[in-house]
Amino acid sequence: VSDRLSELLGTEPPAEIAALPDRTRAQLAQLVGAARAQQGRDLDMAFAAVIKTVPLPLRPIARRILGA
Amino acid sequence: MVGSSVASEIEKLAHQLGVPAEQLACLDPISPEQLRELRAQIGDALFEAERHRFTRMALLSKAVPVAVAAKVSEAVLPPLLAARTAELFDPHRAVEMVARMSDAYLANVAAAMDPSRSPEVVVAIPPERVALVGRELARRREWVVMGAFVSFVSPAALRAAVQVLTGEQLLRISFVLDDTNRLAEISELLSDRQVDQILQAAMRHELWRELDELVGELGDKHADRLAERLDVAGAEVCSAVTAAHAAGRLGDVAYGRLAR
Repeated sequence: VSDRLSELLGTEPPAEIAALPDRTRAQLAQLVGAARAQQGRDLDMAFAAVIKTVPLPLRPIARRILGA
Repeated sequence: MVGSSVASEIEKLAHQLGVPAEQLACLDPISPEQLRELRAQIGDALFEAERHRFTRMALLSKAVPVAVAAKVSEAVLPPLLAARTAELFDPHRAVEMVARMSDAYLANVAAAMDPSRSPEVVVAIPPERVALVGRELARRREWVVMGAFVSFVSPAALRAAVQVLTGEQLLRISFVLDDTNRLAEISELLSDRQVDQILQAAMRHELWRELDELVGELGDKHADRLAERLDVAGAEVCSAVTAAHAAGRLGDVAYGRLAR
């Protein structure tokens, strides 16, 4: 469980967090994972929306830069 | 200590994760320092997870005319993504973008932003814009957001923002300040009316915890000013302060400094 939180953070959590019960660390990992997943979904939608919104002459540039 | 309490750190963490603070009650035993460290780690992790896409978005913003970039951002970019993309802007470009965005959208972006990740951008925002956005954030009761920005806005912007806020709003912000180093600067900017509002707000809204921490953090000069205003605040406020102390809601130190 601690590995999951560490994995999401990309580093070891602070010592007091690491010492929390497994269940609490799991809850925390779940919240961080949910925030990260939400951010990913928001970016997917934003990329698509940006392409549709930039003026037509700029769309090729937008596609190239965004890789869309 | 103002801004360093467990409660305020949990509020900030909850804000970052988009959950109610109650959901993080399991973190009550953790020290404020460790909660702050965790919050920084989460902020870094969320940014790094999508750095490549934030970079692309920032590149696009630079590649098109600033008016187009601002219009498209406001139309389709969720504030959280705009905030993280802004971390990759150079300050000059960011200020140009800010000038073209509405106050409401800018407030949304500010609410999603971690100003410590882009201090050069925050300090470059003109005072009048900071004041307008500050007023909007206060209307939304975004105290945690405002507390985080205090550390990074320019002195002129801080002055402009303090002028448009009430004592109650300033009291709530002081409780969640990320950095209390500017508390003296803020205190110097307060009008007597705002100081009076701080005392009245503590009474009317039961903000004793906030007042306790504020008084504990202030230097003697500014604590004395609060005490002087309490002297002329009227019986109702004085009685409320005494009752709060008797009930253990206002600590001995804060009470001793107020009721000299």
